[in-house]
Amino acid sequence: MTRLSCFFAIPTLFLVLIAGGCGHPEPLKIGFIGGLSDRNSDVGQSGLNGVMLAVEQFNRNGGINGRLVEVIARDDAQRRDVAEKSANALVESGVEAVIGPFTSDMAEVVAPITGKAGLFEISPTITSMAFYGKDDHFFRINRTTRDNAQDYARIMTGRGERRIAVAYDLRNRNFTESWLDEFRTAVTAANATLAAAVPYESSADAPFDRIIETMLAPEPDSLFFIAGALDVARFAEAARKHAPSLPIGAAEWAATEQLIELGGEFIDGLLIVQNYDRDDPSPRYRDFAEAYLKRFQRPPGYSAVSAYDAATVVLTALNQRNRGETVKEAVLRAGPYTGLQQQIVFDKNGDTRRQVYFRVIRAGNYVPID
Amino acid sequence: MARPSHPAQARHAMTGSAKPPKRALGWRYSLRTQLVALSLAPLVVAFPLILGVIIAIGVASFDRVLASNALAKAEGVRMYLDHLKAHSLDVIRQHARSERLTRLLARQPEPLAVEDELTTTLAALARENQFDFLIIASQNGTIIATSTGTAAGARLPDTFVTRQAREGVATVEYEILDASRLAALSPALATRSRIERRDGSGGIETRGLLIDFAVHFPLSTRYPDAILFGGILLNHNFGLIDYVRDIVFPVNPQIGSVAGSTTIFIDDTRIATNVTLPDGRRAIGTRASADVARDVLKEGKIWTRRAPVLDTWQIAGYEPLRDGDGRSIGMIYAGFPETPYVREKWILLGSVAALLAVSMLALSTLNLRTARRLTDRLANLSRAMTAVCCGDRSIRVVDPEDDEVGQLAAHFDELVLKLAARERALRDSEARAVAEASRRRLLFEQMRDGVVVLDDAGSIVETNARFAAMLGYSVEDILRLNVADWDTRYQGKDLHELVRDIPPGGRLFQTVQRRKDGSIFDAEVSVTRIEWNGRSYLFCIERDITERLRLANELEQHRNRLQQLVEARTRDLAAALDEARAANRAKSDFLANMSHEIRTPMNGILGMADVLLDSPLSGEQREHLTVVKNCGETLLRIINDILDFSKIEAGRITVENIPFDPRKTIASIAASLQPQARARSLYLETGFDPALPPAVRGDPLRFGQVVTNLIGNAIKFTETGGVRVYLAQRGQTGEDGTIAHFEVTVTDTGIGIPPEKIEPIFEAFTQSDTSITRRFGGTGLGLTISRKLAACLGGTIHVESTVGKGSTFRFTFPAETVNAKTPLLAAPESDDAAPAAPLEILVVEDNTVNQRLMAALLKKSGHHATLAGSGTDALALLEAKTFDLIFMDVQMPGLDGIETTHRIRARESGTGRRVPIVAITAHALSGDRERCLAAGMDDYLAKPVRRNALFAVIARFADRSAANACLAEPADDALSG
Repeated sequence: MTRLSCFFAIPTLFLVLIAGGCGHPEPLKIGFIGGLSDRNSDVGQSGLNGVMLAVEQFNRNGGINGRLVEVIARDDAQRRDVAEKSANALVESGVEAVIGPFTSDMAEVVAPITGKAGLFEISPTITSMAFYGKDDHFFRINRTTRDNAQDYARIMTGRGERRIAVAYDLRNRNFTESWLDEFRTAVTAANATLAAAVPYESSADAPFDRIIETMLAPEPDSLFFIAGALDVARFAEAARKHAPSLPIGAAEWAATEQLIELGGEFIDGLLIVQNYDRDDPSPRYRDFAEAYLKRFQRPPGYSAVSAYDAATVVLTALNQRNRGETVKEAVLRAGPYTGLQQQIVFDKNGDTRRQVYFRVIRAGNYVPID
Repeated sequence: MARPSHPAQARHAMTGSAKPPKRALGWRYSLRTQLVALSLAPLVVAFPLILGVIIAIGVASFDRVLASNALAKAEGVRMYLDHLKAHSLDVIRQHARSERLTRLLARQPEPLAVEDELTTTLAALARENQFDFLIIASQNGTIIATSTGTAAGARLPDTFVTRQAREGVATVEYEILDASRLAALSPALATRSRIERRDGSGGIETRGLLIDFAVHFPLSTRYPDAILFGGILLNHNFGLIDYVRDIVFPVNPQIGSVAGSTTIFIDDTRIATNVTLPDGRRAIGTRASADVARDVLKEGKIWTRRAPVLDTWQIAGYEPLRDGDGRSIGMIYAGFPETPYVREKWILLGSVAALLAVSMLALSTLNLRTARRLTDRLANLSRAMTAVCCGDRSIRVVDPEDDEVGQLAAHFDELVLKLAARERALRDSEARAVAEASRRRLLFEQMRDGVVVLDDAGSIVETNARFAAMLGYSVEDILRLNVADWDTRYQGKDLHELVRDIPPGGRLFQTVQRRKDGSIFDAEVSVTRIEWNGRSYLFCIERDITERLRLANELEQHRNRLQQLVEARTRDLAAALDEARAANRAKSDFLANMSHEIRTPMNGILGMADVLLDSPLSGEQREHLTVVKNCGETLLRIINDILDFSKIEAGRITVENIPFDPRKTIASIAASLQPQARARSLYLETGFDPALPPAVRGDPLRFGQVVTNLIGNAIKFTETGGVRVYLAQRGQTGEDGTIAHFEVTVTDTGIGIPPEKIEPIFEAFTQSDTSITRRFGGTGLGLTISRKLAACLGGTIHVESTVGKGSTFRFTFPAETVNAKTPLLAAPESDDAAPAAPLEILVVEDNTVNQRLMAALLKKSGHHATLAGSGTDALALLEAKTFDLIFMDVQMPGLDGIETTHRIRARESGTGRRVPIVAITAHALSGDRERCLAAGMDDYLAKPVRRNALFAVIARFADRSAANACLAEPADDALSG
């Protein structure tokens, strides 16, 4: 009877396998962490949009061998306690990699948690030197504060500014202090000085007028803000009130649409850097910008572009990952990556260089400096 | 019929075991059962199996398609609402930057008129964009103006989006506002939000679900910090919900419509829907099922499967709605009735199942019929086999089909036919064997020779009558005999050896046998060993050969006599042949000796003639003496020819192998013959191939002799014109190409030779015309000798000739080429060697004529000659006096030249002196020279000694002597100098 059993059992097994094989594979999860609420949520929100767009396009093209990618997004609310909770939640949800966070202070909280879990993490925007040159699981798409601060110092001293007063936000002190240090070094090297460096804590009712007054006390010849977009708008308002003719500038952190939206007439003439070229005529960027506009009813900002690039890195590496390889190994092996506007090449510590674009705001638009 | 119906049973029957095989009853041992089982398998097994799989896969995949469809619908609703949100935010963002609003805002806080204008503008904008309200409030939350007419100065209710906007962040979100906050915005909104719950609780939902949005006005000095805040109330928003339904469930006249519905919930309560109650009213206030509420609201999942909606089952898609803080505050729903799809699903599955069942039934029926036919045919075959086993050869299966069983049946029928034929053939061959046996017996009996078969003990096994007759026995008696009884040679042990030694091909031998009466006779026996049935037999054919032996004896005697006769005659012939050979050799020896003997006096005659001719003579005397000399030279040539010929004939010629330059040899010969040619007014020219090697290895003497003969011959037979000689190389052979072929061509313009006379000229004592001899003189041996010498050198001579025009002689010979460094034999000295300084010369010569000739010649040349008649005299003279040169005759009585030289050299040893000794010999044979040189002589002259040759030798040794003198006595030389 055994042979008869085999005769029927084998096809049955075969059919059952076919039937079972028709089920869909579990989606592959990617974590996202960024400020989705509170004052600086525009950076996180448009970063999430960039990631979502990249993932949707990737899934539309078949995913990783038919396995689709799902984004698990968590808010850090720019608060350390929230960020810690969200990072732990991401680790527990079994994501393959994390994109984010977007500020250095949050990274200080999140990176140790994901790093301990062996999770690959890539930040689209972080520039702080605190994360530079470290062989860990934390990669960055952006250049360092040193690079940015040096470029700013070169441009500003080149314009004849010799006594620069600076305000910086202690709520993102990891970034702002790192930025300030690098800027001070670079400015000093160019035979100029920092007339004042005024710390403050960002909030809706922060004393922007008083801070400006403090900055103006040592009679600087220009004002510079290491702060988020909303604060820079408020600082600009106060600066125009107290010293209408002093040139103003802001670190790259503030270079968002929100700055234009809120800043209005006060930010006219503000010097700022963008780490992407919003007027890039290349077809690849145009396609991206158009898809982004259709999908989210607004043009992409710098964090959207960077986050899209970060997602491209993660998705490409996951797609090319060999059996038994960690995501980090795959990311290091599968490069260089074609970003929206430039090639992304990681060194062994996961650091990269990125081109930036100096802009001046004129009539609510970012325009290239003369 | 009791027969084994199966191989297993057959085996069982054969072994006779009492225990039946265990498996004999299994279904696999009946082909019919197996085939029936296989035939029914599709219907009984495959059909339910396939049906089960189709239902499992089909239903699952059908449900999945429906679920994904529901998801798509729900996603459509969400996408539309997202779009509405984004669009709304975009609109108020633009308004916040618009000149229209900022201008009015800048005029604040002017009195009422402006406020009215702002209110009117906001109302118009709200209407335009289908917003339910639009409010401008200051940074601190005081309302500046509203579209709904709420009084300015009131507090703006706190919401997520207004908080964000006041910070500067433009935001749009879903948000639930309670009745009081709604009322603060507009009393009408609170009224519109109110919904009676239809869950039997009688409760009232007073909260409102809104899409609200707010932006901050750009900072400016012209107007105060302010925000613009708007919203769309979703409670009772039938326009919106029906529009969304029309988008996700479109109605198309060609394709038809899909009955679907959409709903927006606050928590699980329907606040805007097109799901209807049985009475046709919208199901506002009804609630979603508990499962849905749990999955979607509490756990935040998306629901995409069947769910009860009111009283019907729907394929439903639910998604949660979240506010700005991420809380689930409601749901959106899109779904369609399940019933039509379920009906379609079962119709489809039913059709497939029915079709499958019919197919399987047909298949099984067909299989059963085929199986039945097959087993019937096999049974038929089996019956036929049994009949054949029982001996029936007439039975046939005759299966009409052409398949495997049909072929088996055909093969079986063929086999039965073949079996019958084989049995017939067997019977026939048995009959033939009997006939053959009788025929052979007859031949055996009738044979002329006696035939007997013995066993290995020598006893007769079988015999014929002839054998019995040969021995004088009756056939019956002889069968009792052993070979020892009649054969005198083979007894017991001998017989065993005979048997053992018989080769496979048999053996023939003679023996002596005894008849019954005791008489004996010679018999020839041919015996062959036969192996049969594992035993050895001897098959013997016997013949009485008494008469044959007698005849053979006689023949042998005759043959012997004849043999003796032949041997005697052969001996006689050999003796005669030896005699003839000896005579011939004697003739040649005689000729050689004669020639030698003649040469010695000729030497004297010619030498003395030369001496005389050099002395002052009258014209007549000189003329007569010249005739004497010419006659002598002619005679010497004839003698030389005869000598050469006889040496060749006697086989006494040897060939040297030394390096020489054939060009120089030819040039020298031509020079010596030039006077002869000039005397006849002929030209004599020589030419050489430029490619000739510097030298060759061979016998220059024989080569020169051949060339001299050919040129001399040509001059002799040419009257006008002349002779041309040319030497060329004709190619190379040998392992390394060192053997070259050379050709000497001698062309004359003489009388020519008729073709039939060409070969005879090479025969001894022949000239082309006997008249020639008379006309030209000569022995006629020249060409014969030349050809034979050429042959000795490995070469040939050929002639081409035209009568009256001339002849060409081609002498070709092989020789090893030599490079230039090899020392060559000294070329013959020129005739006109200069007279040397006076020397003291000792001439050792037993012949007085020759003594006088030498003395005359030496005196004439200015040297002083001392004569010695024997070797002993010479040694004595040498004791007393020192000589510059010695001419030594080789052949002398007593101490000969060789021995004398030995002694002279022996004496000289240790003194440092060495007088040159030149041999003079009539032995003009090769080998003499080596013998003389080996004895310690320095050179060699052949008799007759010619004046010029003598002078040349003296000149050579005079130089050497002078050189020696210089070395020996340098002081004297210096003084004389």
